[in-house]
Amino acid sequence: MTQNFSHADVSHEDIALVGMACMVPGADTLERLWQNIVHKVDCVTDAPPDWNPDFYYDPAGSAVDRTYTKKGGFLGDLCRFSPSKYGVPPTNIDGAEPDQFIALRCACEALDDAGFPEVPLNRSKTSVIIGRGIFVNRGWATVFQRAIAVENIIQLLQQIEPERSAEELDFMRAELKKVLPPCNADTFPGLVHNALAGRIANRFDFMGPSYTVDAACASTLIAVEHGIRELRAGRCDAVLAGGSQVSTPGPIHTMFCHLQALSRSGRIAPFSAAANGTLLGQGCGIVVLKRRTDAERDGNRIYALIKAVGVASDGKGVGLLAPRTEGQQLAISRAHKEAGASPDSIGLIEAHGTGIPLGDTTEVSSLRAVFADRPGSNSTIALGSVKSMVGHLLPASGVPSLIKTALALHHRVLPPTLHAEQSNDNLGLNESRFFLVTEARPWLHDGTDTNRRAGINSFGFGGINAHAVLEEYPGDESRRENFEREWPSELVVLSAENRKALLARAISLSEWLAKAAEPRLLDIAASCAAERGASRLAIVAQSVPDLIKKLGRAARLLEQPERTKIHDRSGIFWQAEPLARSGRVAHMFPGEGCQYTNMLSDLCRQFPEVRQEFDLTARALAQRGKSLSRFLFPQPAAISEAESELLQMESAVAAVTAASRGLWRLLARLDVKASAMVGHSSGEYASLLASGACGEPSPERLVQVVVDGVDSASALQRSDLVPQAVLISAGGVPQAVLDEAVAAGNGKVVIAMDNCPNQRILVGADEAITEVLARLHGKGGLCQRLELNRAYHTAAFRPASAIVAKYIDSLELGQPQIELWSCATADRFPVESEKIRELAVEQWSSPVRFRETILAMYDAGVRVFVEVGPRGNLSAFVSDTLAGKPHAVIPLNVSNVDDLTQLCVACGMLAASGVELSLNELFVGRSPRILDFSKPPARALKRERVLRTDLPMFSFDENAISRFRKSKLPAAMDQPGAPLHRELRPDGPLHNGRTEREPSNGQNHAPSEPISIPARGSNSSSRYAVVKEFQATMQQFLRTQESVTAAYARRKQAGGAATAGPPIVVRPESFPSVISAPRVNIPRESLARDNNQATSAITNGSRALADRVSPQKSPADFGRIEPAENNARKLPFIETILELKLGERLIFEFELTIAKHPFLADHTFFGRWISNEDSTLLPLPVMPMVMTLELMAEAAVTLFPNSTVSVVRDIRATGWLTCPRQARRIRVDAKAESDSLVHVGVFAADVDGGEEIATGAVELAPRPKTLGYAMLPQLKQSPPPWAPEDVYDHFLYHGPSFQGIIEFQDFGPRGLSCRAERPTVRLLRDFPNESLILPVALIDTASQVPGLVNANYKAVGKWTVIAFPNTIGRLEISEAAWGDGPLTINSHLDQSSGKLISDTEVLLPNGEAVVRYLNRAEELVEFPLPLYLYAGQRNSVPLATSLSNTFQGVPGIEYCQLCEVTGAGDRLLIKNHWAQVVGNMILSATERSERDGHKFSPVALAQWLLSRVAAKEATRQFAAVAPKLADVVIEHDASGKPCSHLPSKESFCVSVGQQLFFTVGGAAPTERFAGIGLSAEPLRPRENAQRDAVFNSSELAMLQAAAARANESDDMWLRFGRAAKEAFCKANSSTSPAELSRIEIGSIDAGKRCFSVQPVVALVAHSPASMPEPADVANVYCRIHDQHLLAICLIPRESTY
Amino acid sequence: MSASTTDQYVQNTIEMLQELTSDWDTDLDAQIGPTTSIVNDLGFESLDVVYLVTAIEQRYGRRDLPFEQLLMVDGRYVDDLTVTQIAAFLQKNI
Repeated sequence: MTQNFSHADVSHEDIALVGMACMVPGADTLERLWQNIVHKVDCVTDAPPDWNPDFYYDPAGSAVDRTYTKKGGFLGDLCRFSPSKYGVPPTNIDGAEPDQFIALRCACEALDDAGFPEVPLNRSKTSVIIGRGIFVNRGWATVFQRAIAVENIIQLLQQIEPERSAEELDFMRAELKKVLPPCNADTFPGLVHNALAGRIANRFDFMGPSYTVDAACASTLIAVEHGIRELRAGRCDAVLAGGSQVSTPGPIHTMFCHLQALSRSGRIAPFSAAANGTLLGQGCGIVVLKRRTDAERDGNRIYALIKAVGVASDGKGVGLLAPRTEGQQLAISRAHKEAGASPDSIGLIEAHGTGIPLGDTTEVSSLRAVFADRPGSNSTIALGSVKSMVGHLLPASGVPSLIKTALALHHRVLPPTLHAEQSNDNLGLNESRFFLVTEARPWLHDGTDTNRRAGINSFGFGGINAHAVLEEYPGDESRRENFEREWPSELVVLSAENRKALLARAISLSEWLAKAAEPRLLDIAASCAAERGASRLAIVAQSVPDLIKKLGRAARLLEQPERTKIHDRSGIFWQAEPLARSGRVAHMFPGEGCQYTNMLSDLCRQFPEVRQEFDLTARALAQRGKSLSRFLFPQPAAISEAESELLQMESAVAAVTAASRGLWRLLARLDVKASAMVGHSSGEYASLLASGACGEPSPERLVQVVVDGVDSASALQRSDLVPQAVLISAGGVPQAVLDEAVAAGNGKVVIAMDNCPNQRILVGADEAITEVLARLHGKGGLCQRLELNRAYHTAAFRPASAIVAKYIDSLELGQPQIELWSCATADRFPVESEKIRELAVEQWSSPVRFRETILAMYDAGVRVFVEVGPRGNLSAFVSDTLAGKPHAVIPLNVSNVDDLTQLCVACGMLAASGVELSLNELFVGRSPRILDFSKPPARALKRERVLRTDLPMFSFDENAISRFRKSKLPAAMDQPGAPLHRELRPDGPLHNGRTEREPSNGQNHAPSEPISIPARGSNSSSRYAVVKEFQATMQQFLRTQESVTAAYARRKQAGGAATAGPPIVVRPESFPSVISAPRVNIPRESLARDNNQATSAITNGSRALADRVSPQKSPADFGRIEPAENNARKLPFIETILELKLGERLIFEFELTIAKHPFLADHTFFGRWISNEDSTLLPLPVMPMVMTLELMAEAAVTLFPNSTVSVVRDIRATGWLTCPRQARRIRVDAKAESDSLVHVGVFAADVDGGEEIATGAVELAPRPKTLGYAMLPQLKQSPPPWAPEDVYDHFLYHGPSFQGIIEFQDFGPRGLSCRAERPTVRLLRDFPNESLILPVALIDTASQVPGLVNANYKAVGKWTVIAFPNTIGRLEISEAAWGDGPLTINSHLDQSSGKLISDTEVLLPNGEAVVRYLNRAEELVEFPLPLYLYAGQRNSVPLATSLSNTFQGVPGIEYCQLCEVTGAGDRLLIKNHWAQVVGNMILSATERSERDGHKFSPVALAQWLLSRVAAKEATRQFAAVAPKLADVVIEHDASGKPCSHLPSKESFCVSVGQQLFFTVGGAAPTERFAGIGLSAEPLRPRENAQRDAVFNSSELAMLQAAAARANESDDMWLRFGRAAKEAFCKANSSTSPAELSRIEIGSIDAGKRCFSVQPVVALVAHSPASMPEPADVANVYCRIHDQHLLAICLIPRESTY
Repeated sequence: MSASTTDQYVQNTIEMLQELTSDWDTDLDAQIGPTTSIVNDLGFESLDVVYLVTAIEQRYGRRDLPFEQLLMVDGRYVDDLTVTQIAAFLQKNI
């Protein structure tokens, strides 16, 4: 503890940055931010939807209150906060300032980073000072909306519509408030700005001063400055300082737009010619500051030191918002003065750099004033601005600047700036000491005596300027944490006892990885590095999937018994007999010529020792006026100048030697030892140093060695003793040819380097070389002139030997500690120092005999050659020389592979070759997590919830709008022709003052006109009913759309976590435009086949829409294009491609048939037991929605052949695709929006106009192994009220193809869960299931689960509810969907909207999700319960109710069966699809043909079906075991009378009486009866006109008399009479009402309601021969039942009654 | 030159590259095709280019091909070459 440590008198002590944390666009950790910075990630994006961009956006951008750009740095999904984790009650959050919570999170993380609590803080002397501006935010907007806006809107409404009642206004008020976050006493602290700091102090019990400061954009540095004062004054021992601007709502943007300060190009380009403004960014960050001595004493990690912060105001500037250079200069100068730092000591300036041209210009002129230009000298100060990457974070803008600068000092890296490639000429940077950093470069330290220093500018509106001076913290860098944790590749080395065990290990790792949620490659690699074993497999992988792939490949190769090594250049290495076991390891050092700009740059950032060698050389070169960083690590703008400097001998040798030494030190760190060394040409210097021939030089000594080397090289150049020459490399020239050509040169051309058989370097005077080249011309190979120009390694060098000798002397060579080889002798160096020295000089006059040296080393037992230097040339020479001999050659660096990947490759080859090395060094500093492969993979951490930062906006849900409108316009809804959609559209003026948008897709959109109903048959009541019903259906459908859309948006806003929340009304453009976009219009004339769906126009809305759009090309015009054969995977449904433009558009068609697509037979509506007699009889096959998604997926994958489908979303099902009879023709139209998003529409192409079936969007992305851990908790409600077998026996109609549910485990109104498996039945005739893109059967199984929530019916009532998919928000798929093993399916439900909205997850036993359905909305449709039960059960449930009691007293009735149809759906059947469904359930094969032969109107079809049900139901009661209705055959006998047969062949006379949908049926066994007639009349009066036609006067008299006797109306008895006549006719075969007048009522028994009926005598006489003889007389009995009047006439065989 | 000749050179180039890379153990993700590049896709290193030159010379029995035209553009060595580029060079010079 530090209480007693007084610092009252410390005035200028350095302040240590000991902890940091931030949340800025694109990064919620330091490592992510640093990684983003170094790798130039532009985190400026379009505003996320919850920012409500379209509300504010006005591209014209002239209005004061609009914004002309949607771009900015947004936190989006990163902005997460878990209230419980930080001790905040969750109820306090939503209506508060989001900054308070994110600042609290950052404070916790910064303290954690500072080692707290292990490294303790003096709580009583810890302060919290945070920069914070006052801007509108969610907290205050909530207050405003509640306190002002609500009442204001009500007032306005009252003025516009004074007739509104108080209740209506109250309703509206309540609706307005409903969507706002809460605002109460609990949320109030969340509105107090200062509580931002207070919350942190409160949480940690810090009792130093805590407050916020506002200095506009300088706030963060001012907060730091306050903290420094507290620390230096000794009032505090630790300070948390930072800045916060977590939200940047639209109003702030509009303000900056009005100032024209925001970039219209959407890019922040500080100091660039392209700079045209800044963009705002969101974020927060906190650093922990301590006095340096305290931090050192406490053992804190110190990122950097803050020397000083200078502050100044602009004084009397030109305006409060305009910068003033004098103020800025003063701040910078004050900081320098306080820090005691000269401008010369600064190497990096993190500028304010907003990208606003005026600001940039002013800032550069301020900098140039303080850092005076030095004409003619090099630019030495790197300039940049992190704002180019994350946006301008306003008061928090100092946070990313401070962290970036601290990490730049920590890593010794000059970080890049985006979009600054072309600097603004007006800034005059070229004349200044500044240069723009556009690529990350090692920060070499060459200029000054001080440690690296950096400055940070922060300038604020209102004229407040701050400048901070930071300095690197010196010390041992080798163990430092590196925040650039992600490498482009990782090296995974598996070790095992032997080859067999290694193979097993590769397989086991691969299996483990398959189960892991989100394994990091780094963790895997670091964990494997600990494995031990003689047999090593090294894999260099770019990603986990790449690793898995390579493990698989390695396993396959290891299994080949004849194989003795794997050397796969993509990164798989293994040797059966590792070469280093029996052979030796050598290091090879290349000479000049291998240098290239930016070599080892990535290694410098990861391995300080590499950079330190460059540092030493830089210091040496600086003594001779050269800047190594300028020519070795140039910015792209200076590359050509750098390259020519790098060719200068002194620079080249220095750079190569430094690089080789750096790599050599890296090898030392990796503990890779060599027993032999060789240097090629000037590489010999590095080999002498490495071999210990120069002892162990100190850094100072090394600097001197480099200085001497440079001097020696300069002296050589100046002396001109070495003649100019031309060098060529002769590649691939046959040895004899070359020798001959050289020999012909008479010594004027010599071989200076014999590198390998395929490369020799020739030197000679220009003329001589040209002659040799001429001789070589046409003799083969490749001769190239080199850029070198001196005759080194020839006798011509000898005059200059003295100069070299002087340098060699200065090296004070002694005996090498490691066997050192000389290329001059192709032998080992001599032992004696003097001879070593002589040889080192002599080699410059001798050819480089590298080829012979390598052969000699090989003979001496060297088998592993490690090239310790840049580029890897020597390695190629060795390979060429030793071709065919067992050896390994390992370059540590090659120029065309990134440094770190090549390091991995090299280490992998070393490991495979059996060279001992410390692999751990590859990971140290990158904080890997060590995995335990012996245990199952860990569960993924549950992510914290996303904190909303947007402003609360008003919105109404559709119900509220409807209710409010209805209250005013009560009539509108009931008019059949009224434009229904009006009230359903969400974007009324209440929400958005602007007009409706054009659909985003210009051509093929559906008209957004109201859906108009064809006005036909309006005078017919049944027509009217049909139309009305259709309207109701459409309306219901559209409502579903809206509510689902709203729910989708709601969840999206809540980041997918919240399931409930205020309903948000979504504007059309927020919802993917695909819903109306990919509509294909199929012209009538191109469609050969009409699928007999003439009636569908009435019941299908999309067709009405499709009819309106103009025809496009017909399929014939497209020509037939066969599916692309090069597409590796043949897809089942891609049959006929009509149009294919890869990556853009695909239209294909296929024939859907039961034969080709047997899964259809397992997906039939309803039931599976339609017939016990005829197994080919199917219920109505319906294309499963999931298979429709498969069509979409196949289309997408065809557009992008090598892609995988990860998500299908925004699915809207608009029609059923049934396949009742012959093949259907289906067309799929897919359009790519990008290479990762394809919109697809599915259409029935054989329907006139093309009927839309479904639309959706397919996302193409690599599929994850799993979807991570479950999002939905297990509900644990109650066990299901049914047995497992009931699911597919009774409730679900799915056949084996889709039967994945095993047993329900949980059941309740909120959700369901069950055990499940993946069905494995083959779905397609011609393709295996593996050819499908989606795991169709599993997805279908998952989609069955939610609908079962309503399967807990009690067997009462007439209706049940079934669910039909309507829309699906999102379907996510992972690889594990194809695995095996048990699964559970967990589904959460919401039926509050009247729809069934579900989220469903399919889970592995370990809790990871493999498939996830989100926002699946199903329409709940009432369906006759008996029909449902009939379909679901083998044993038939009757669809009719017996009427035997009604007809009591009728003679013979006990031998008959009479029933009323009560369970077949009645008027529901006028809907075409229900008629199809029921027809296929009850009709036999011949009856189906009969049906199809008729051209029924919808009503007639419904009635026909009902009458069939009636006759069949009456018949089947006679069977011992009731048959299925389809097995009861209805026919007509020879006389034309209807009759029926049971499967047992018993036959019956049948008759049906029907009034509209009231249907009764009767059956009488033919063995007993000759006929049965049933007639039904409505009870309501008929028109009189009919009566006169039917009855004669005596009949009328009899009927009136009977009515009087029965005390009932004449009218009723007239109808009795009519029904009696009709029943008589039916029983006798004639049913025509016209003939009723030829039937006579003989007598009436009023009490028994019995009519004695007979034919008129004349009729008998003139009856045509074909007419059967009617019975003489028969009794007809009448009864009243259920508002209907019934008559029955039974004709017995023997006239016994 | 007819189109079939162009195809023939492409095909020959592909065959030579397949021959050169046959013992590399590398599971080349994509088959070698007209757009394959020798450095980025095949991982050619410096001497591999010499081997390719030698292979071309052997295949066509020619030792006088101006490879510098293939390997250098505007005085600088090219970073990479595609099969198509090599085939075009062959078509022009054979």
